[in-house]
Amino acid sequence: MFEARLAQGTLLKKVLEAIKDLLNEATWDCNENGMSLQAMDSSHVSLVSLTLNAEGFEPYRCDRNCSLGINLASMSKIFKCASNEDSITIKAGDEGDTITYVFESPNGDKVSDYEMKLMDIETDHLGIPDTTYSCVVKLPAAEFQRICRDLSQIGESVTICCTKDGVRFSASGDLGSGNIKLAQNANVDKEDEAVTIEMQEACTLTFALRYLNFFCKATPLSPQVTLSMSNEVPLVVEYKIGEMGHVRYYLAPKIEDEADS
Amino acid sequence: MADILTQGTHREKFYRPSSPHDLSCKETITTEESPVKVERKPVICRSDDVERGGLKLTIRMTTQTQPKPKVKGKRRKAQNADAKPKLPKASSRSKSTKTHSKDQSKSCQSHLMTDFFPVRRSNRMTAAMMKKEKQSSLEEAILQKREEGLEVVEFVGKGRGVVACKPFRRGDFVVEYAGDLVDLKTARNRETEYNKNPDIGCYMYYFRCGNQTYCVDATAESGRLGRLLNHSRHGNCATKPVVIADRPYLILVAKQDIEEGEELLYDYGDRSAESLRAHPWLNL
Repeated sequence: MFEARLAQGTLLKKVLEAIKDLLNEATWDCNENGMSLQAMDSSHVSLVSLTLNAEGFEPYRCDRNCSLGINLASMSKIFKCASNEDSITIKAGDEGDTITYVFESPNGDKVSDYEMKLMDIETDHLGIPDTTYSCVVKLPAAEFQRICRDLSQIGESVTICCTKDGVRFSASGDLGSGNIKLAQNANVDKEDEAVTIEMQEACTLTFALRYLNFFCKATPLSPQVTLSMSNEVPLVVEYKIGEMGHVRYYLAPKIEDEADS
Repeated sequence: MADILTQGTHREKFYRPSSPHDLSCKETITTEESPVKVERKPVICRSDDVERGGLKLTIRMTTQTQPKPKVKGKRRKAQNADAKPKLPKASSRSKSTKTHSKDQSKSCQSHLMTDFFPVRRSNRMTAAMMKKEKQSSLEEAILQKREEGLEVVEFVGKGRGVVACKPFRRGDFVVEYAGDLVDLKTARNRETEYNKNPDIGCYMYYFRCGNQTYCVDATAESGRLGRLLNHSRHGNCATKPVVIADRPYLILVAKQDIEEGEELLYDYGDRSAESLRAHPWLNL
């Protein structure tokens, strides 16, 4: 028996919005510590790792570990039926092949439940090593979204260059090129608007903007986004999910164009 | 290298429907080409499918007259600025599969996640892993002197006993029978010593571990709960020796599922006539 109720249902709606465009389907792994999900997009270039801790749910009950294979597009469709103020309860039996979502209005006078078929999904689970990244940049999530959107007008890929002065995003394409530079600013009053850089070593990496734009769908989840980078390893884009967890996107860097250089 | 190839085939499994392009790459796998190039190939067609989305897919279908790989190659060129310097090569592209795969991958492809993070074949655990995990959690419980879900209760007629205040599943670790670990000889000596004083209860537990007999002497009041469990020939717990770092520990495990509130009992195992005479309750 698995049952998890989230009073702030809108959080789950946002989580779904954040992953459903990148992943068609995924397996939610539920255990006593909470729910988690790890999946690569179909091209295997990016990876989503999502954690929702049990503490965030009230109540949370997971009698035995279970894996719930879910079509995320369908789940998102169903979640659209929940109002932002509703609480959301996710239920799954031990044996059944269905999952039930219950939406309750705050005063409890409207209760809707939706049942959905579970899927058997064959997935590769990747072992993600703990890495100390040479640059960790924190910036307002909306700012990052804006940068990715703007630069995708210019080119297909963005080069992120992080030095101690700041972080530079650049793209070039047929129509020309563009650079956006953010300097560090620790704004005490508005913590959410601060740009902070923790750097051991400068690094420059190139990524496909297409995926970054997918990642930016998580912007409503958190005011700040964290980019962790080291040369020649995947970028990590992390959004906190309130107090209860995080969604991390990993994106493999582009292959260097060495043939003609 | 074997790993790379399996990854390749794995992906193929998913993307087989994407047709001639894929077929050609299967051919390259059979030839003795560098597997790295081969590996990139399915990625190209795949991410292409994904990247272009449904709209382009229909375009491709309307331009059926051209071989598919060629169409893809051209479109990629047109859209990607990085690929610009290579445009002249485009015409020869579809003819030579090898160069095709090579410079396309270099122009605008991303690496794969699987290049960086190893695939865990399954997140389910094998029996061996489960056994290992169980062992390590058991060791942790013993070393941390864990005594959870237990409560000391005074019973009329038989003194202190231990009651479960949480349910235990069959096979669960209940508590360690903690005390001095001594060898057989020392134990015998101590026992004769203790026998002189009738106020001292029986807290010596002899057990075999490996091919040696040990004894845990829990006679001394220690605050640990293991020594307080009462005897029953049909108890709900059983003793079990566990070796951690070459030292045997004696623990009690649940012989059956135990409900909350049940008294924890185990068989002291002493059947000698002498003991039975001295302690008639051993027959219970």
